[in-house]
Amino acid sequence: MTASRQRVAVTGVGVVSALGNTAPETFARLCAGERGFGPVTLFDVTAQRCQLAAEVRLDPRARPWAGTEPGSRTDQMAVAAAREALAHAGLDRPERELSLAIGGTTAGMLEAEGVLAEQSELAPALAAERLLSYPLSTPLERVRAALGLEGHHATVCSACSSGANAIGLGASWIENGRASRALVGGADALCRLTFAGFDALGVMSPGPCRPFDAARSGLTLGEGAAFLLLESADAAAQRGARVLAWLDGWSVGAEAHHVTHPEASGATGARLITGALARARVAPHELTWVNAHGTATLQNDAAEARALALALGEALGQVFVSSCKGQIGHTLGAAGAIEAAITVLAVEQGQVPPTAGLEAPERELGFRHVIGRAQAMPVRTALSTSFGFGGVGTVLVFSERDRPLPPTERSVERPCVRGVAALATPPAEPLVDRLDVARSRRFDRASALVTLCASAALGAGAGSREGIGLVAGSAFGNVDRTVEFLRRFLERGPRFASPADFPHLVPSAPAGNASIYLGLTGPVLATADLSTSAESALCIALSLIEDGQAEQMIAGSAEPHDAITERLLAPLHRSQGSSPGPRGEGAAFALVARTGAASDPTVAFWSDSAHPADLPPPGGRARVFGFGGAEAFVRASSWRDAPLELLTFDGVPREAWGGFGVVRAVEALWAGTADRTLLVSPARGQTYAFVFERRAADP
Amino acid sequence: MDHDELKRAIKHIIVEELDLRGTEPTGIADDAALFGSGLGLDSLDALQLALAIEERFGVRLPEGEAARPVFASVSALAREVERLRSG
Repeated sequence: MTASRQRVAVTGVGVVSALGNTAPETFARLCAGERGFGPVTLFDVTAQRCQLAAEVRLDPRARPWAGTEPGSRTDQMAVAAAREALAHAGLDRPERELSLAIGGTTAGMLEAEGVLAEQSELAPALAAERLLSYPLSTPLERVRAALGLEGHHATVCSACSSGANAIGLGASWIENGRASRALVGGADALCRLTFAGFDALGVMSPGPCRPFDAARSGLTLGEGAAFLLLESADAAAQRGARVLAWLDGWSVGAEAHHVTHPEASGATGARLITGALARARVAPHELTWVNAHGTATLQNDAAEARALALALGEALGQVFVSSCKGQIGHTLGAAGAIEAAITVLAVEQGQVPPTAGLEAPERELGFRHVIGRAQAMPVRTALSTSFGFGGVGTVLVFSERDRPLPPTERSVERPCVRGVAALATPPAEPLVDRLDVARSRRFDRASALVTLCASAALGAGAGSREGIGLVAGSAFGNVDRTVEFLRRFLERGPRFASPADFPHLVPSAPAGNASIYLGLTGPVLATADLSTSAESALCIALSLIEDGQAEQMIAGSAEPHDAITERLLAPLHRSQGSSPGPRGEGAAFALVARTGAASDPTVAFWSDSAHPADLPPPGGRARVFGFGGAEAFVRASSWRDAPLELLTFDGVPREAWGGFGVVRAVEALWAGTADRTLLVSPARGQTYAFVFERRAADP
Repeated sequence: MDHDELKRAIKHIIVEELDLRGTEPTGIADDAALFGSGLGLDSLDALQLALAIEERFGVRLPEGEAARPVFASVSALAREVERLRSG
């Protein structure tokens, strides 16, 4: 069975960058060739090799939300850019159902590390509050609260391609009819962690960076936020919205090669570019411009040029390629979003921004540059490319508003569950001993948990791992190891920041590490949604399968023992009347696929913002599994008469229970104790719900 | 610390800092290649090793191309640390 795929319109953009706190200001100064670099003022960098960054000029008192909550710098930039995108689209008061996806890597890190850096006598409650502003899901919560949104929501992290993946995920919701409008983007504030980390890796340029230059010597960091308002062609037409550009294709995948070194051949980058162009039905010779990742490190720019040459062939010589990073710096998790917004404006206005800092282009790159200031030309189709630690990449294709594109069909088959695995261990269990030493050096416990559990979900007979993806959720990330890294350089000096530890601190590191270990080359990313992170991961994985980005995805969450998180959560648990013993560790993952065997249960329904009336009827022998608070949702649904089992998992951290619940709901079908199972996970005012079903043909 | 003690200390640092679980420091030959085909270490390991040696012995090892011969083997590293400490 097929249905027509909705075309995705971009009808608004918002940008906060070092060149300006709005999209028009950023784009005008970008086109004029201005550069946003200056000495770092947010924290002390005097002992570091590099002392330069592209900082946003932000009034810390001007909070774009009501109330007095402090919020983080990332939150502040995110809300400002989100509001601008809506206003630009003429939707100042969006509907509550508006969906939201945000990519990022640092969230409240700047504020959290301030607690350590200042060594101040902060009241314990305030210190805890500031450390808890660290979770990656906070910017999403802040934007949702500021705008009053209740639609689909996802926080994604894939290192420096995070923002691009949020955009792709939102596009998949629209293409497949899950949402008619989605606000999608990324936000990352500068912080000591990323600055010291990139400095320790020796990849920061002493002066302003020079992408694609023969004399380039590394990247310059920046910060910022950007959002795009995506609408289905129908929704945009219905309200007479002006289409800025179409998001006609995208592609996401991983190299499974090395945590920091890009694959020198550029093969994976080429695969993603080719895939995204094919999806958009754009031939290489129809491509005008590539807004490249272009970090200005020796390795990135060389690998990216090879990827473009492989993907575009003879058309390469006619294509313009520039990098915005010579002007706004490398904005990490926000980069994919900011650069996508700039690409939309370039397509809309027929202006191709230059590569600032480029004086003597590296020879043999083979493509055309824009030097000095923007060049006016019709931009029929443009790419925005993003690549990150762990070898993950995402390519977005934007085309001009009058480009015709006949409707395409999409499959409406239900995805299925091919395998599940759960792993609960005491914190003392030496997990890494179960892994191959050479391939798991420096793995933290989260990486070991994800690798072991994802591998078990894959099963022994999975064969080739080509194209299989992985979404790994975690509520708080690796707080202990992050604090250890920060303490070391705060106490001993920034020269002692550990280069080998740093790449393992990005929230997507466990997923990236597992993908390299297991050879997974599909979409690889992390997500965070507090105690429903596994549920969020499963929703994202199913959306990516539905969108055709992967045939198979492994999805779930892993929660390692973390002393600091445990200490901070203890008062919360006490206030709720429970006094948990030492938290164990837990991970649970499911292998979901577009097609499977007759014995594989199908996923008949999934949603991160379900309403009781949305559920398909129970039918046959039905069982309901849920977590505390699920009762009201079930009573209001057609499943009210099915037996409800409230799940608890002793010894497993509460944040990891969702994945274990998925395993329970699927195993009940395999065990033959039910024909249909419903899993209900309430979360902060809304509900994740999944319906799993034995196939009708199943005896 | 004499030359042999220095080499033993460097081997311990390699195993500890680079997480070579299951490798005994005494199992690393003085002149064995550390990078590429040898122990299978990469440039990220080299950065970490340089940092650990700097922290332990208070010497600043060369960076970039100049680092290549210095990081060839445990012996080469020990000679460089001695040279820097006496100089």
